[in-house]
Amino acid sequence: MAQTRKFFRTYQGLIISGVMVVGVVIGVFLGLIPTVQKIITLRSESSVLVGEDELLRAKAATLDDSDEATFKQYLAELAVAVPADKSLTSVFSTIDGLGVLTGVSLSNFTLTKPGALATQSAIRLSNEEKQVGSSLLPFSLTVEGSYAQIHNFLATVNRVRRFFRVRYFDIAFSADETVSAKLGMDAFYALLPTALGSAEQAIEALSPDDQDIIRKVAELPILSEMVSTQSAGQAPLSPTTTSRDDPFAP
Amino acid sequence: MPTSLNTINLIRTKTSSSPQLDAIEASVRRSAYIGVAAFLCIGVIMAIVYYLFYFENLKLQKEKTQLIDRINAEKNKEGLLIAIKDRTRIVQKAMGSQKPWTKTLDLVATFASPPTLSSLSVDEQNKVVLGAKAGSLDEVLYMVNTIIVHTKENRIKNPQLISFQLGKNGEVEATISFFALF
Repeated sequence: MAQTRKFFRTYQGLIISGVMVVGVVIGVFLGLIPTVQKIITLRSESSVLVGEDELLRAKAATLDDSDEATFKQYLAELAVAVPADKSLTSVFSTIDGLGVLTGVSLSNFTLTKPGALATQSAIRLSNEEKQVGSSLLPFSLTVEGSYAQIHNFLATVNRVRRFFRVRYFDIAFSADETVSAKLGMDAFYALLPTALGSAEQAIEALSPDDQDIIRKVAELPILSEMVSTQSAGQAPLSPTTTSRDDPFAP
Repeated sequence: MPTSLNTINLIRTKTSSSPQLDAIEASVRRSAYIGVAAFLCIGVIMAIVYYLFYFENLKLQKEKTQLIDRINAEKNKEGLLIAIKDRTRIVQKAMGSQKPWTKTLDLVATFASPPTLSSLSVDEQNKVVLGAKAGSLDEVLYMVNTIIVHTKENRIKNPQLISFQLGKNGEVEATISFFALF
C-alpha cells in the first residue's frame, strides 16, 4: 500500500498528464471521429437532397407553367391519330371518308387479324410493333377508281388524323381506264400509360419538337367527321372480318 | 519545492525524481495540455459544423416535402404530360413508318404509265413489280434506260428484268422489278 502511494506520489504529474492524453485519445475515437463521420454523411445527404430538390423544383415549375386544359386538348388531338384501342369505328369511318374525299369506291374490307375487341393490355407486341412503337391492326381493302384517284387515295391516306400505313398494294389496270387496287394496310393504336412514376421522377416539359408534332397532327383532317356530312346517300363501307380462306365466308 | 529553515514540512508532497523523468513528465504534460486544447477547439468546430449541416439537411428535407406536396397536387397535369410525351413519341414513329408510295408511283410514271403500265404491285419489303405492255422495243429500251438512271441516282435499287416477251406484231410484254428507296 505504501509502495503504491509512493509510486503515485513519484509519478503524480506524469499520471495526470497521461490520463489527460488518454482522455483526449478516447475523446477523439468516441467523439470526434464519429462526429466527422456523421458530418460526412450529412454532407452527402445534403448534396443528394440539393439535387432532388432541384429536380423537384424544376418538375413543380414545369407543372405550374402548364395548362391542364391545353394538355387535355393536345392529348385528345393525338389520341385521334393513334387511339388507345383499336377503335374500329374510327378505322371504318376514316376509310369511308377517304373514299368520299378521293372519289374511289371501296370494297372487300377485311380485318386480317381482328383479335379481341376489348383491352389489349395483356397482348404482347410483336417485333414489328415494337419497332414502330405501337400496336397494329392490319386490314385489307379493294379500291376502285381512276389512276389519279388511286394516286390521290395513296397520298391522302398518310395525311389524315387516324394514322394508317399502306403495307403493300397491287394495282391492276383494265382496258376501260378503271383501276383496281388491293391494299394491305395497318391502323395504329397504342395504350395510354396507366401508371405515374414517383414524385421524385424527373419529367420533361413539351419540347419544340413535341409541339411541332402536335401542331402537325392537329392540322390533319379528321375524316371520320366528314363521312356523316358528305356521304349522305352513299352506302357506307360494310366491314367484314372474313377472308378468302375462310370456309364459312359467302 | 523550496524549503527553508522556517518552513519545515515533514510530509513530502513529491518524492525525488531524476531529471530525465522530470523532462519526460514536462513533455507529457505539455503534450496533454496541447492535446486537450486541440481536442476542445476541434470539438467546438466540429459541433458547429455538425449543427450547420444538420439544420441545412432539415431545411432541405422540409423543402423536399413541400415540393412533393406541390407536385402531388398536380398529379392530373403530370399524367396528361406523360401521356402526351408518350403519344408524341408513338405518333412520330408511326409517321416515320408511313411510306410515301405516291413517290414510287410518280417515279414509275417517268418511264411507264397506263396504258403501257398494265400492273403494279408493291410488297412489304418495298419490292416493286410492274408489268408493261409496250408498242415497240424502243419503248422498252427507253424504260430500261430510265430505270438505270434512277438506279444511278439512288432512287431505286436492284432493278431486274423478270420476263420479256416479244409478240408477232412487235408488241413487247415485260415484267420488271426493283426496290423502292425513300
